[in-house]
Amino acid sequence: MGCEETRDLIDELIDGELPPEAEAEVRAHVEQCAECRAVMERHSRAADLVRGLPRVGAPRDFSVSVREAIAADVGRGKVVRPAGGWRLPMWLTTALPAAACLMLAAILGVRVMQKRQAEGTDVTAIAIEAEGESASRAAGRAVKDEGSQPAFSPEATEKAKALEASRDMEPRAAEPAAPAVEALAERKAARGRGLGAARTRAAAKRVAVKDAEDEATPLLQSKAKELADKVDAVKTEAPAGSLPFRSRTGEAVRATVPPRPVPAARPAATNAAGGERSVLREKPEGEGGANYGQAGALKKAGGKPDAFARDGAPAPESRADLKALADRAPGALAGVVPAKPGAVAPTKARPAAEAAEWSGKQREQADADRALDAAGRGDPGIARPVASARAPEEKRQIVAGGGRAAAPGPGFGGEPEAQQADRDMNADRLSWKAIDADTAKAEIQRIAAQFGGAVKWRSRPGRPAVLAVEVPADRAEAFAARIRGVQTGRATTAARRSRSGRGGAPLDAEEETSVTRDAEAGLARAEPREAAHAPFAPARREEGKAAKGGLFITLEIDIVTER
Amino acid sequence: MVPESKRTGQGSGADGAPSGRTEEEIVSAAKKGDAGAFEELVRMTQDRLYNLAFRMTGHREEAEDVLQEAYLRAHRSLESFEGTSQIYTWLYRITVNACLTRGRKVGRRSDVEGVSLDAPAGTDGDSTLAGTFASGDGDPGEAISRNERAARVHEAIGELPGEYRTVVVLRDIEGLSYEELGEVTGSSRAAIKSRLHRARQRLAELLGDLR
Repeated sequence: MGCEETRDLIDELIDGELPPEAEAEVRAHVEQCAECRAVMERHSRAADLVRGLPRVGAPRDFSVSVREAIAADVGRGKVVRPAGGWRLPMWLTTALPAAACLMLAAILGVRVMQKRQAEGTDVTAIAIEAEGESASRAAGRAVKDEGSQPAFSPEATEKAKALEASRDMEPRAAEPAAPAVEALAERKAARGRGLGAARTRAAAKRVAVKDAEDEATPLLQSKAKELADKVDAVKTEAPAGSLPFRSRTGEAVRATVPPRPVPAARPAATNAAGGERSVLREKPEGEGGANYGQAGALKKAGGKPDAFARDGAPAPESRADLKALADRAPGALAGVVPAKPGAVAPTKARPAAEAAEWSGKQREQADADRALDAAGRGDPGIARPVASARAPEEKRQIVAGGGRAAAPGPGFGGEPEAQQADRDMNADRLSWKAIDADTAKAEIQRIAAQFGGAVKWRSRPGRPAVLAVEVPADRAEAFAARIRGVQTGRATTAARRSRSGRGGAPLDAEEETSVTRDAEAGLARAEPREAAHAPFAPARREEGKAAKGGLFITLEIDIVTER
Repeated sequence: MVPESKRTGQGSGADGAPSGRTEEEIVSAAKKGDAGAFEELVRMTQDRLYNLAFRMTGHREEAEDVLQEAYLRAHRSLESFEGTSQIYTWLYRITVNACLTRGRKVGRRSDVEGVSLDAPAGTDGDSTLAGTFASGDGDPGEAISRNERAARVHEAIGELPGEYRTVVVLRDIEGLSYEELGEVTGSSRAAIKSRLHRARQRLAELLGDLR
């Protein structure tokens, strides 16, 4: 046994904790090794000194002080010790009162709700009252009460939503009504105080507010109508297709002004742009194609945007002009936000009801425009009804690049390619069925990159999934065909799987040919175009963007998730 | 080395007289909420635990506070004592933890009590220097020398880090075995051995001139 090992065992030897054989070994080593013996003596001496310390007893009254301390501790509630010899667990002493309070609160809440429902109100009304009876929210309840409709009837809900949207859009329109409502509420409350001793003051206030809301409803409605008229007037004054804004909902994209009837003879530049409803925009200097700014969007190289020039109105050429327009006609900007954050201070959202009405008017106008187009060009196909719920002018826009007034790239300046692609895009809105929206977006982005395009914007989370892809105009049709082709192919595969999954017979030869033909139709349309161009690698796409010589088309693709 | 009374503790009644109940019976009664049984348990264990607390803290008043806190903790959590270990081991653990916690709160106390006429002069804990002088028993000079030595050792223990002090006090003063040391401190035998070795090494350095 070595010195190191011995010294590790010296203390155990001193304390008598070693087994006999190990003790003998250690002792044998210690007798031979002077250093280890010295260590053992020092440690043994230290242990003896400590062991020689006198014991100190507790004070005589110590147990009394402990007893008193324990009594005080029990008195503070830290220990519950019933006389019967058992005691409650500590957690239970806390949990029981809490559970009792919760049950009491739940019972009271249920009784209050039952009482409210018996009085013809609903949960929403209770919530509204709980929030302090703000005027506009109270108005929502007033609308519900007005028609004596069920608490959650669709009509009442729609009205409430419309008024809620109105509040969000123009708070100033609702605010003037608030003092009136409060004044009425005060009067009614004073009246309510005389309702009798049985009714509490809170109940009287509730009734008073409800009465006040009933009286305030016509006032609010008149305000809303006045506001709508004002907005319509501003829109009429504002130049058509002026502002490339995007709505907060991500749906009402592009021009917020209704398109005007198409004149019989158009300016050449307008026709070249692929139709009046398309918004011409230029990529500003130094900015990428997917990130052009507000001011740049309003400028047009070598002149003003056609839309402004056509109407004879001064075209905004700068942000200051845009703000001036906004100040002069604030309603024109209602319901829209800048396409790029920070470009222009956003205004409030357009009321839902107004937006719905607006969309209908726009759609009617668009159909009329299309009919005129078809008649003027002798293209009956273009006049066919559009299945999309969205007006065609909201679907895409053509972006002119390069700062050149004349169309530099293929398909621009009277080229039938861009116009044809434009119409094709109009005729059938692109959609993409997928299980997961994010996956779909990634896949679309990949396909767009193959065509030299890029994702321009995507809808916000929680909104209907829409992806806008900006692709070169001369490849837009091919891109759209690819999107449709992929989708058709998927549908075919799904049909096969469906039949197979049901245990049915496999597709016969005719069916197989049919679905295969359908599936490949889109791809077939795309292939000749693709064959005509060299593969458009991302590097070349960047190069093309740098040159700013191309015409780009923005395509919106609805992503339909299927779960 | 371990006091025999610790193993076969006999309780005492409220008047201090032996109640005749065994340690297990006292603990069982205390767990059922018998206040008298718990007080009996306190009286049965207080001297030993007080000595532990005094050596750990270095001060009588602080030892009283710590031990009272330890008994309060024991009373609150007596339900959790399952009887798998000795009640002494359980109380030692609570007392040691209370001492270490208090030591961390108040900081290191190096001003341990020095020589006092009221300081214990023997290992029985009852005799003091004043009593030794008054009774005329023994040599007063030797008593003073013994008391000074005890004060030096006491001070040296106070110089040790908490972990080392714990094992030294529990082993050399309270006489716990290595196994019991492991139960009280929750440490392995190897850790106990290592701490004890280092503690004695340090004490030997501090008390090298004492003969």
